Amino acid sequence: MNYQNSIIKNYRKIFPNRSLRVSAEEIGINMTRLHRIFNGAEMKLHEYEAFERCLRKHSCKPSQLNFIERIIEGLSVMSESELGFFEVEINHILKLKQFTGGLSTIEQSAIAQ
Amino acid sequence: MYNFTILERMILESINKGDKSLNEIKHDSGMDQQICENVLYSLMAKGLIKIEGTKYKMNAGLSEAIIAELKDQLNMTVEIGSLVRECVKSSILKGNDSFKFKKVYMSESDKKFLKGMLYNLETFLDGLKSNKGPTKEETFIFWGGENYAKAVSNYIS
Repeated sequence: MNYQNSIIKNYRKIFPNRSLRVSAEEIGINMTRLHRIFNGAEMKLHEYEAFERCLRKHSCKPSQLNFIERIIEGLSVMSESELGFFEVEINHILKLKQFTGGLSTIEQSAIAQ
Repeated sequence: MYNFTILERMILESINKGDKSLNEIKHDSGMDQQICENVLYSLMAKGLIKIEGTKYKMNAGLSEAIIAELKDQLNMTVEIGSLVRECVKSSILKGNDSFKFKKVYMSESDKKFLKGMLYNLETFLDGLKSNKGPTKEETFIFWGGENYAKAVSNYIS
């Protein structure tokens, strides 16, 4: 599954009954354009970002959102070796959560993908 | 890349001391049964261990690729770092005695003196290697030092 399908599937799972009009308002994408995206039109970068922002807004508190923004900012200035180290650290944290039951089944399958 | 964690290492070390049942691993490692099961499942899926009857044992025929993954330096840095970080946290946040840190100026003779004492410490610890006991009762010890400016420079470069 490509990233676009995965993000749309995730959106529909979280908001199964949300109408196209409300979705367009919440995501900030024109309704006609959103209809095309839902029917397979390829997303542009700013549309990916709009979907991600919308999903994050749903799953995070404002303080967590700020933190995520800072992490993204930090990632963008990291060197390749720093990124490699950070990735391994994150992998360790997620794996330990899997072992200790700190992750839901959905989160575990997302990591497995 | 298989990110080998401290939980997997602890259970692998436990099995490496001798084939064990789930219950024996649980007692030797001090981990909850559910965590033991999850870790054992992961180790088996990777082919690092196998089960014969009720006993878990090391898989003798590990491929070179898996051995290389287990020895990955970046992964080991994170693995050891997580243990040391716990000691630092425990010491600073809870006032425990698990981490000591001193920053001093040393003359050349001071450095030689310290080197001698660390050599003695290492010799003493090497002598304890043959001691046997439950994995959960083992103590990890670390030491070392670095020039202040060099460490800061490495950190920011």
